[in-house]
Amino acid sequence: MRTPHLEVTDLHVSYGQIAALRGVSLRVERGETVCIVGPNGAGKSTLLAAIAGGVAAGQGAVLLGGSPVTGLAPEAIARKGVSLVPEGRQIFSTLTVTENLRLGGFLHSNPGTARWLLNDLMDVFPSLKARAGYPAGRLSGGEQQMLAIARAIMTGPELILIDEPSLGLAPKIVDQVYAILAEIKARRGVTLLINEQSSTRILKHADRIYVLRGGRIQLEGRAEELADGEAIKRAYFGFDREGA
Amino acid sequence: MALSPLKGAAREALLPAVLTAGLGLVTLPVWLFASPTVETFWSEILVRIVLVTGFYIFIGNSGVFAFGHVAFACIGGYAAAWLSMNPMFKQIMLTGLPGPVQAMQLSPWAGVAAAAAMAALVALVVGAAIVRLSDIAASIATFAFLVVVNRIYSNWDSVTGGVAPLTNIPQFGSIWPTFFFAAAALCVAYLFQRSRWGLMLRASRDDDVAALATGISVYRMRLAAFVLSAAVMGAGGAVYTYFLGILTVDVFYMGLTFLMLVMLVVGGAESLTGVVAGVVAVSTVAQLLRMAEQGVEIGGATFALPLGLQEISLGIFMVLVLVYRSDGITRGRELPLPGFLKSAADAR
Amino acid sequence: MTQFLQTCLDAASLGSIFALSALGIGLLFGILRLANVAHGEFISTAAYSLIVPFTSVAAASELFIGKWHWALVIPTVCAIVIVLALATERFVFRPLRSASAPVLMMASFTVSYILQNTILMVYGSQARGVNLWYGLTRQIQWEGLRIPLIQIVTIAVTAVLMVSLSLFLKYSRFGIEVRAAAEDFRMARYLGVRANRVIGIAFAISGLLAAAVALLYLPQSGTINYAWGSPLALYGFVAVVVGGMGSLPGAVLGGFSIGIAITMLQVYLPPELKPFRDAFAFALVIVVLVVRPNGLFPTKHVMKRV
Repeated sequence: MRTPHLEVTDLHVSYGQIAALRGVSLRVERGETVCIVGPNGAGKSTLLAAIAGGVAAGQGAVLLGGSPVTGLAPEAIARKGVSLVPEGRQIFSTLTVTENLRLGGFLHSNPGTARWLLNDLMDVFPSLKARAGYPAGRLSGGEQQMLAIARAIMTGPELILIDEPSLGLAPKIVDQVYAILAEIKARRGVTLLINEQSSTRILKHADRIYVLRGGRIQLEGRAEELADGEAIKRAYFGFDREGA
Repeated sequence: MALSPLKGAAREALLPAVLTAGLGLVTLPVWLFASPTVETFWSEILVRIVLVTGFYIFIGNSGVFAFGHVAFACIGGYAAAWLSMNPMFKQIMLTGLPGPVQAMQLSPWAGVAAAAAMAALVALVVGAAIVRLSDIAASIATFAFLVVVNRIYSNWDSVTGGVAPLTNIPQFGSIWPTFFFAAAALCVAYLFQRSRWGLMLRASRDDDVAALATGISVYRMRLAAFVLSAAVMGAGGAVYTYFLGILTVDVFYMGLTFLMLVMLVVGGAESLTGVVAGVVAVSTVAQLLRMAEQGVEIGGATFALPLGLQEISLGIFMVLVLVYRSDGITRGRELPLPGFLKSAADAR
Repeated sequence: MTQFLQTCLDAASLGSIFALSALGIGLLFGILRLANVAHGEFISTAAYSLIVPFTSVAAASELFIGKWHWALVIPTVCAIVIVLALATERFVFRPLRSASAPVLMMASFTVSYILQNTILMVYGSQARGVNLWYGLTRQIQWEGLRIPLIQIVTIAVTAVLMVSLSLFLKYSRFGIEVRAAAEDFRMARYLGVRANRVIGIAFAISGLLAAAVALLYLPQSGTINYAWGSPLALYGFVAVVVGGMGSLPGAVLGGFSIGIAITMLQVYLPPELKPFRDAFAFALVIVVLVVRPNGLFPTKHVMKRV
């Protein structure tokens, strides 16, 4: 069996008394697009933050290409080729668009790599190129999402974690975001792990799907197997248990 | 679990009773047998318990770190001096005092009460503005308040005597009044933290949003805690002044603030037991270091620590506590009451 | 008119000192939410490093580093304070990185207490005269104005420091990292920004600015005592709050406003109220925090920090 790109085993995270993740395990193969679907408060954001080193795990392990990265600082995990596009974008609003992107490129030991990536990305995102000198806080929501994705790519990742890319965006913009993600994937062959609250769009884009609820994985399956959405719905709402 | 309300109340009243009894058990032999040095040392601990309890009533219940409470001790200390100093000296040194105040000489007991009232009044005005602030803004604002009070009292020569010490202030003459005020402060703090407002304030400390959602006015509860803690600080400042019989403005500034914070943090800022534990532990360590600075005779030779090492050690100790045990030696819990006391209370 | 110009110059020079102090404090507050009370002791340490410990208390204390050529004094003093600042970061603030802002403030209070008492232990409690760069106290006569040279130097050095600091923050890699960290530290780390290095650089700059404040203010003040740096840092604090906490241009503006306000109060306040000048300044802090928590000069992108 091949070593998965990302493997999470029995991950527990709690904030004080409140347990956010209660033993989550998942695998993502190299080059896959995997989506985690779950209701608000299921622990999706915590899961991505824990993989990226932003929150400490109480128990369990995160393995990248077979080697453990649990407990490493976020900046160290970023250097291992993991980049996070957090919920709500978190762009640096006082920095210009270019500065936001340059920041993502600083971890390359060769400045030429960063410069090349920057130019390349400006071609992929013409709207960002047009606003290169603007403070990022003045971009529209959709442009900010594009910037957050572009900034993540600047670190030269092999695995991109994307937390709710469609949050607060109009459906048309969401289509654009997913189109961009598909293009990036085609060009750079990256692995994608995406959180979404709604599964309708995701079924088209993902290879596999996990349903997370109450800090636990409720369901796992290939997108085509779950295409009718019924199994997801049951796992998502917990119908089988509450009998509703 | 199913205690009757009466039994529950009896059981709850145990904490201040046990703490007070513990202090009393030390005070009695100190009063009977101890040398003046030891009596002074213990009196100072009792005074500090009043002051740190004052600090605690606001910080421990609201979770807001106020750095300026020593200002209220300053206000209380000067109120005590104004009311109880020998009138002859007042007429010479404090010419700016109103005539009637200049002429009166109240007993220390009345002086402490008046000091508490005055501090509470100032706290009501200042607190109305400050307790709206959250987190670091509140810390900085209270810090600024401390500087304001210190600057005013250091420079208002005709009323405070400026930076010169005020003397001829009557003393208690016994350790028992000081003990009484320490016990009273602990009881007041306990009653507040068990009251409806105290409990709600503690709930809001952990979750502002939830408290707001239940319609509790965090602002009013914080203000109540602020005023009450200022009153206890004011009383503490007065008790300190009557204990020393002399008053200088710089006693109530950064140094004392730091010492109070160390005691509170070392003891654990969230429990009343922590207040007592912190004051006793830090005072004892500081006293031992001070003695070591004065020199210890071992085999005919005197060994002394360099002067100033006491303060530096205290500071390093504080850093270690902040880093390794930021919830203090009590870990924020109250005294675990011995089982036989609990069952005695339940049996009543 | 001459009198007014003279006052303006005094205000600009004092404002420069406060602005430099405020920058050192504001930088750390922006990144770490650390209200560093110990900044005053960074300033004091710079001043004390110039003189010999435990000399007999003479009118002018014997200089140590201060005796050297100025081209050597400046880097040495800066290095001493930078090392001190980095040491406090390493041993106190780094272990407390996940602590709340008030706990950090308390820790800085502790550092201030330790440093102040160390100065007391090594140098004693007596005020000491320090004769640094006597030539700078000379006055230049110009159009009826008597301008102390040190004021001109202070304003010029401050201007140079501020321009270079803003260029550094604007264009250098570290500058971008520091500004990003000041806005959202966690996100910056997700992008590979090394927390320890950014914080280290911020502490080093803060130490450098403290050294600059000491070297510029010392020739004007002439004597130092163990608490010498505290008021300079306290006014820096006032400036940071007035300028909107976390905003660096705000801190500079705040510093100059406080310098102007203090100078004007000193000149125009009725004599019986003059002693209460500082009380007014700190009362202003409370008023600003309550009424205008984003400072008196909100910039376009003031982050909600308070």
